[in-house]
Amino acid sequence: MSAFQVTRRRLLAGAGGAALLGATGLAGCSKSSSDEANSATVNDSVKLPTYVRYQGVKPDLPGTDAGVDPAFRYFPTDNPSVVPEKPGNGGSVSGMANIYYAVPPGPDRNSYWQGLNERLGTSLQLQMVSNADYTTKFATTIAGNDLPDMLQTPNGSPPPVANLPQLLDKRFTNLSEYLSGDAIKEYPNLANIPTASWKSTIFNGGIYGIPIPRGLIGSYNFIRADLFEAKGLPTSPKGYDELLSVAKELTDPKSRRWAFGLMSQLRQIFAGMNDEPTVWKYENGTLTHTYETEQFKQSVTDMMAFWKAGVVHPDAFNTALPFKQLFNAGTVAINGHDGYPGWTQYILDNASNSSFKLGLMEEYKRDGSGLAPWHLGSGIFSFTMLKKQDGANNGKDKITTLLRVLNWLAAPFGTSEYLYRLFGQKGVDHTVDAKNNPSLTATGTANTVLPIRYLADSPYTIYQPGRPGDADIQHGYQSKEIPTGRANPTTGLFSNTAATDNATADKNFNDGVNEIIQGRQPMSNLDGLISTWKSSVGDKMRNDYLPQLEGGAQPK
Amino acid sequence: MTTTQPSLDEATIGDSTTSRSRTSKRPVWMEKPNPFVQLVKFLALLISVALVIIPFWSIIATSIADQKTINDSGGGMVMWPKGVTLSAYASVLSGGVVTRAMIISILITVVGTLLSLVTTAGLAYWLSRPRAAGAKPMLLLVLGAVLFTPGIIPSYLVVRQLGLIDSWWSLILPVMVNAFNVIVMRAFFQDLPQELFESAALDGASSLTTLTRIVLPLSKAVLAVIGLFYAVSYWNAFFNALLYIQSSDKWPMALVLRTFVVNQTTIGGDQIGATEVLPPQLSLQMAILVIAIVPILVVYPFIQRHFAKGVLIGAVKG
Amino acid sequence: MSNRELSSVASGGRLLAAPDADTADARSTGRARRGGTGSRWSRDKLLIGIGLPGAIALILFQYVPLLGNVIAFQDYQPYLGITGSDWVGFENFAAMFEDPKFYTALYNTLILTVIQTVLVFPIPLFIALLLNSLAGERLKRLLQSILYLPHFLSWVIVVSLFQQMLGNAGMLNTFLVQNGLPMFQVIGVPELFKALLTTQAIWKDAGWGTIIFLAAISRIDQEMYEAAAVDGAGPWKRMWNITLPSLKGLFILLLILRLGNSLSVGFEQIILQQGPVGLPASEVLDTYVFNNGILSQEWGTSAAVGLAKTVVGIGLVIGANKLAHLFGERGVYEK
Repeated sequence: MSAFQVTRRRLLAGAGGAALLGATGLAGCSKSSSDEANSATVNDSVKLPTYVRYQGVKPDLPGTDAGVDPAFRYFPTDNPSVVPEKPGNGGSVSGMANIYYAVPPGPDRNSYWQGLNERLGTSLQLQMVSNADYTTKFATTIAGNDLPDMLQTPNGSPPPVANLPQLLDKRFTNLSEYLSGDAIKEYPNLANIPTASWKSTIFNGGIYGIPIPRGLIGSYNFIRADLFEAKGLPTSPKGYDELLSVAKELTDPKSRRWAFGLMSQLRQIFAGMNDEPTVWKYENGTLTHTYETEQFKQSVTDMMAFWKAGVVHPDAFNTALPFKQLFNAGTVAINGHDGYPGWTQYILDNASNSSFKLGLMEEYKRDGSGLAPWHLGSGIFSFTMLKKQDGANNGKDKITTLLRVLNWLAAPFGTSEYLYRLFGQKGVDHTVDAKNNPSLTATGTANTVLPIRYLADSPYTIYQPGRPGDADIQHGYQSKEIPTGRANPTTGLFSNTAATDNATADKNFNDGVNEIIQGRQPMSNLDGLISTWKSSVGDKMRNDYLPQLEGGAQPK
Repeated sequence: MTTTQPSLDEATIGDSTTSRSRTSKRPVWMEKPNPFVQLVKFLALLISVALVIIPFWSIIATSIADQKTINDSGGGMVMWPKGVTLSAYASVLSGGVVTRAMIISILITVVGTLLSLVTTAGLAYWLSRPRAAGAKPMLLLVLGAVLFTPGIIPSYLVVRQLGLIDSWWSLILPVMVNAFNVIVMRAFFQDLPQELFESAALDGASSLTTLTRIVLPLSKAVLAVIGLFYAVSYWNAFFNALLYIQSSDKWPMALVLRTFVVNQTTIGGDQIGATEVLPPQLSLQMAILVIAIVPILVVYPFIQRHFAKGVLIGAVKG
Repeated sequence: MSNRELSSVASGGRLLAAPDADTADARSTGRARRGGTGSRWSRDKLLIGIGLPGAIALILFQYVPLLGNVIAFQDYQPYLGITGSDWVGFENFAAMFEDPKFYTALYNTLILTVIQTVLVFPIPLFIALLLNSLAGERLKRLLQSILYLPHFLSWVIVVSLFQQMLGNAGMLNTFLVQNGLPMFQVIGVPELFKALLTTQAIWKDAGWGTIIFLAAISRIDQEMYEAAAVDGAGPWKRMWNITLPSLKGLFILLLILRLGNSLSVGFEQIILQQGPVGLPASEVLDTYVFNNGILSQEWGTSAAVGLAKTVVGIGLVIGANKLAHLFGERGVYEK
């Protein structure tokens, strides 16, 4: 009714007036010149950074080249330092990244931050933006050209930024001369980032960022093992029929319990079970999207059946369903395809709940004959771009300093730098138990949540303080699922349609599918949805990707 | 002017005493209430109040509930906390982030509301005077500002051009004058008895004197209301802070609150490697919600006094 | 005392009733008006000076950024800026008018506008009158303080509260299911979506909306009530003949301003709840802009929709104001 509506209105007018981030005016007419600059040929010519695995700390359960993360049962007792010199030279560096939790106190009242500055030899100025608002903030930052030295892309691969190659070319530094091939050995902790992750940072024939690496497993199917065991149910149901009967056993609306939470989680489980491609399939020179396959139709039919059977939370189509809380409460028994670092959080959330038992569910093929193919993640969370610097040799000194800072931040698990980055100062931010497991204090919990992990990070390592058995569970699960892994052939390739219009088309498509699942529209509508999707974005994305794949870019 | 002034004061003072004496009892001329009508009114209000109180009760109950209580209620809001704990409040208030943001918000709200009232009243006064030079085109501009909403990025660029990025002024100046409030205040000013202006003009009072000695004292109700509108919008605004304030050290309460509230449901979201047992996420959210509402609750009754009951009766007679 | 006499008393109170402004200011500014335009400006120097700071702020922060709306005619690239981006003429508008989804959104918006204007908008006035009719001042204040509370909750919270209370697995339905009763489904039912939105809007802002009416009521001369009561007018008659006429002008003013923004019908509230009911039932212009513009970074189209909305808003305001003039009301601006 008056002034207080302004915020909401402005948000939209964002649209109206403001508008803007990337932006191709209309229907994805990307500029041809840039297509050439970012062609498969030039990108294939990039010499990727040499991978030099850090050997200084030995995991209890080793990682594999196929993508199983290394695991530690206890925190290593010996914590070597891997960055002998202070990276900075007294100046200040700025960065912007997203944050998932409450912001920490500022540098003047945060001993952890002060200690970090001391160790980095520089004053680190951070802009923290809550994850939900990150794309908005990112857009204004780009439009206003108020770039920090280090800028995190929005989460995704490729990042959902329109005309990203052109933007990178105009505003950010091509890091090839610093990182390509053996040059990266100057920054050994960055060299410890696996090659697969670097592929997503290649644009315009250059390396344009530092990837925030994530394991290829991408997500876990978390289950409430205690609820399964109470009913004597198999924790990894074999095939469609068994999954349905287990789900029915778990479900009891009277005591507020359902097998599944969000419909989109169930969707992912069926994608594996029904042998759908991981988004795209590249075979014999043709590129097929999962929406175009018979397997996808099967998944829709299956979702309908499960919805009808009442084994899915009745508010499953509400995208804001607090599924993590529901899982903690046992309202939802299977938390399918949730981000895999969530393990730590679920353990913490339920520390006071003695009956809580966290488990992982393997995915079986429809007929139960074996494990279903696992849809691998992209291997990155985001990447960190370095803005173009002024000065001699395009600001070579500054870029070097920034890379040295990022190198410090990427120090691997178990090193003294890592220990400080995650757990701060012993006695202030954390305490250690008899087994050398660090545990954050209240101060540490508030102080250490700087989003520096989104500027540079070491490869993911499985470790659950004080619960050595968890390392074996997770490592075992990854060891089973990774060998069945199926990658998305377009990972690391850029399509402007995928970064822009696809979001809208996908929303419309899935909205239509949801109508079908809920029985508001007939199944026969699906073909119409698919052809609309194809003509609005599907074929364009195919046309963007195919030349890159044919050009020899390797599926990653 | 000198002639009007004393009678005005008299009227105001005289009235404030009468209105105070009327606070709890029916005026003499008012008839005894009809019991049936009273019952209907009572029920209508009771239901409305219950519809508000119950969810708010639930917010408070959830803010003091422990994880077990929340789990028992299916992972949602709690109606009756069995395990009561203040750990959510302790956690929210630790580290000093929330207290600092609270102080910043109070500062911005106070300074901003004062500036807003001064500029809005000034503009409304200009536009309310019949045939004032330039008032007509300006009025259309003000009206246009109600209709057009500037976009995020163009606004950002203006703020940046003025060098206000990362300054608290960026949270005040861009929203200092709200066109809606100008128009409402102008309407109230226009309804002041014209005789007052005439006699002021005859006394040779300047427009400034007329504003400060006649218009404003007679407009306490609307000033209180518009002031409240401004105060609340300053208090609740997070979006400009999100865009214009770079250091989280300078964040106002509303933005801190937002980070607590919006970040709960991201699927596949990254988790921190914390090892301290935190209070339940839902309790934290509700606790900070309660903390953010309290200051307004404290201030409101003082503002409310100015518009809850006729304050200026009699003044009209000049 | 007849009705007619009563209402003439009311307009004597002048509160936002149609003014006889011409006669009044003819007298007060009569002397100066004899001079030319130049002398009007010099006469009003001080007056303009008083209004100028506010005017400058408004122009600087409302109108200068509006220039950015030219991107409705552009293929805007933020890293190129407005000067560097290509002009595309009316392509963005064409794209909008060719999209069938736009018309669905327009239809839903218009329905909601009508509901919100007819149903939701007057509610604060009713509550204000109800509160005003209470004798106890303290009780009145307390009730008002309680009713305005929901205004301070953001939509994220309001939506989640409704979900918790009325959702298909919410408190109410859990209670019903546990007692073997049929479920009461409101959330996730497309047919009831508009009713749900309306209920939420009333819950959140109706109490808050009373404040401005209470301020207006507070300015009504109590002696008018007293005089009317002495003349035998009962409470209903007094409300009908004194209170309501005194609030009419303000009510119309607010209504016209509301119409100006009538095509904005609760963006955040709706976008948070689109999932379960689906787009055909829930898409409005603002969510259309978000889903088709911001989400896919089609900023040109978004700006075009924004401009179209504003044009409609201007049309409604001018129309409503004309109508107000016809009925002898002042409206938001004078003839």
